[in-house]
Amino acid sequence: MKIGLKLIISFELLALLVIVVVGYALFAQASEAIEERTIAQLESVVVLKENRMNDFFKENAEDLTNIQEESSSLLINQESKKMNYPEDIRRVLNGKLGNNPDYIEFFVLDPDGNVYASTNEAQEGKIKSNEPYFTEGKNETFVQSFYYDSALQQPAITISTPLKDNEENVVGVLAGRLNLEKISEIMVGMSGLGETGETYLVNKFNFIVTESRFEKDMALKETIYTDGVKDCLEGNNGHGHYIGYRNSPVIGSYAWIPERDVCLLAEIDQDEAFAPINRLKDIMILFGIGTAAGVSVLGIFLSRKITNPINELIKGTEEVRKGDLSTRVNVRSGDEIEQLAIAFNQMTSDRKRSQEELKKTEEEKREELGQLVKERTQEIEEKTRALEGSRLATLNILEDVSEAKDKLGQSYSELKKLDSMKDDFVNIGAHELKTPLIPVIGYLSMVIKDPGLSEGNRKKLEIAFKAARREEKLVKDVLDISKLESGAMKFEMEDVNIQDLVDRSVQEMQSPAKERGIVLESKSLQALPKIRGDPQRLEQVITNLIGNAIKFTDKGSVTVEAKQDGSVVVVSVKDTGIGIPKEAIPKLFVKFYQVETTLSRNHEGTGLGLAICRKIIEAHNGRIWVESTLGQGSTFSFTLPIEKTEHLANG
Amino acid sequence: MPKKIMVVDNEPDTVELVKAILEDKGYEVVKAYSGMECLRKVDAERPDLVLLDIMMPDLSGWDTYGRLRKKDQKIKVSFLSVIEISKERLDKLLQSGLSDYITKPFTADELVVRIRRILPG
Repeated sequence: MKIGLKLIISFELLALLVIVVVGYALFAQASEAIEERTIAQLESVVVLKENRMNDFFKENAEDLTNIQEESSSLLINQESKKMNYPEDIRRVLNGKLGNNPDYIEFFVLDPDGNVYASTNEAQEGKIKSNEPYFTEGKNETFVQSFYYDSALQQPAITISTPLKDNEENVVGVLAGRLNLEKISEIMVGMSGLGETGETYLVNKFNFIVTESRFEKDMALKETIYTDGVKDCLEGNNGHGHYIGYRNSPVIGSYAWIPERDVCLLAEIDQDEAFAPINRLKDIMILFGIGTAAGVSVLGIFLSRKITNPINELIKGTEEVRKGDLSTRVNVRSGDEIEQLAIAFNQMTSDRKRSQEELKKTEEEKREELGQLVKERTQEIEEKTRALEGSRLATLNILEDVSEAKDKLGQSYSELKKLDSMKDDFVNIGAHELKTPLIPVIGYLSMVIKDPGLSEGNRKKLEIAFKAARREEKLVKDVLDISKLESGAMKFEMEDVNIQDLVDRSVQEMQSPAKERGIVLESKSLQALPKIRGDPQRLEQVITNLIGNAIKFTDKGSVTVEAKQDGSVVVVSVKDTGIGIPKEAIPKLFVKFYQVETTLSRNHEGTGLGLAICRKIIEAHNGRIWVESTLGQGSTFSFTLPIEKTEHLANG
Repeated sequence: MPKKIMVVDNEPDTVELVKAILEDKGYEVVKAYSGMECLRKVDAERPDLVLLDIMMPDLSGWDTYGRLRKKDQKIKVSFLSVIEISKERLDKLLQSGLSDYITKPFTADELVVRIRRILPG
């Protein structure tokens, strides 16, 4: 939560607390005071009214007594001890009315209680024997107050006094009815009780006796049962606040007046009594609101005063965080925050200084290092110069070497050129030599099949075809030997299983062998190690040897055997043929040499086969030779070296 | 539908020979006397097989084959050449999609048998 808000809330709470506490205390105090004051006021009013009332009654009782004394001789015939004629009495009484304005009626009762004479003639003859003013009045002055006169149909107060003759004998009762309004006047009359204050009398029967200030026609017609009246009728004097007879809360003071048998109550509405406080309460509320507003303003103002410098500081730290160490925070609040700002500034300037110092040291160090490097470089240069001498010497050697390399390169590229020339030569040679044979072999092979051909023609064509085939083989052989001799033949060296080649060859040559009725088989004695060679060419050799063997054998067998002999593999083709004469053996592997014997002229050799075989075998670092016995057979053998590792493995 | 074979060779005799042999066996033959001519004609003719000589003056059989293969991955080609090639080279060519390598000279039967193997049915 922001500082401002915190401040405002704190202030508001505090202010509110104070206002409420103080307000409440004040309010309570004031209420009490007012109540006390009001009650005092009411009490004094009660006392006043009571006195006035009592005075009223006393006076009028006295007046009646006086009238009795003064008028007894007029009213009573002293000789007969009887009352005069009613007219006479009436006359006297009327006269007295004028002098006693409080009275509204005078009348005399006879000893039986009947109205003998009255200023109100209509009353004469009425029986009043039950009235206390008669029964009591016979004996002494009596005030009968606040009773309801049924005859008159109004509330009344009557005072009575015994009518005596000069010998103090009671002849009758003199009574006077008082103007009740006078009492009401006393009661209701202003007593400084404000708008809602009043005094009134309530009798033993809860009847209000005097008129109410506020409601008409209540006297002796309405009853009141308020708390005040209740308490008062129990004979108590007191005060309190309770609900008044008009159903509004009142403060009241009351007194029981035993002489009159009435309660005197003085009441005032609480609202009016406490009006001042209510005004005070309103003022307090307004004050509270005003204070709250003021506090808010104060709070905002104060918080600004505090947060502004703090925000300055925050901004400052932001700047520093971004890297700007020259930031300075300007705060002049004259309090701890200013101190904090000063410390902050100090801190950043310190940091800046140390940063700069560090940079300076760094630069110095760098310079030193540079210097060091320069020195070392110089050393190195000197040493290098020393080496230069020896270097130049080596350079010359190197130059010679590179020259030699160049020459080598040259010869190499020349060799390559030569090589490709050889390839081209071979290819072109092959192309030119073979091309004429293409249509020859092609067409001959077609035409021979022609069913419309005569047998003779067919035979001729067959001879031509076979000749062409022989020519084809010759061309192949010539090309082979020429490639082998010129080095244009490219061998594809692999790890070769000689036995496989032997088997394949033997397989291929089965049919020509069968044609001549000889057995062709291979003998394998043991597992042979692999040798490095060109499988196609080696197979060519084996096939050639087998072919020769078959050609020169009329009956018997041709056996091919392959075995290991020390560091080589030996393959031998043994036949049971005609053998080779001794003198022919050395020339066997020479180009175009063909063994001629009288026995076989129909061989189709080219004289190149063995030469080709020799070239191939020798290219494989092997040896090829023949052993033969004329008439018994020949054995052609060749060796192939085994790979060193293989050799070792197989002992 | 008869199978169509394009024969490419700068040697007219060879071309005529192949045509004679194959037409005799019911094939349709289209002639081309150079690599360029072959490439020109091949899209229009859409042969089932191209028989390609290698040693030709303008565009060698190798190059022609390369271009044919680039143009159409599926076209069937067989070399028809006097040159014998190494096993290694042959394997590589077969892997690249070459159908066969027939050496010259050949008999009529040899040619037909090889072609029947390439174009069954």
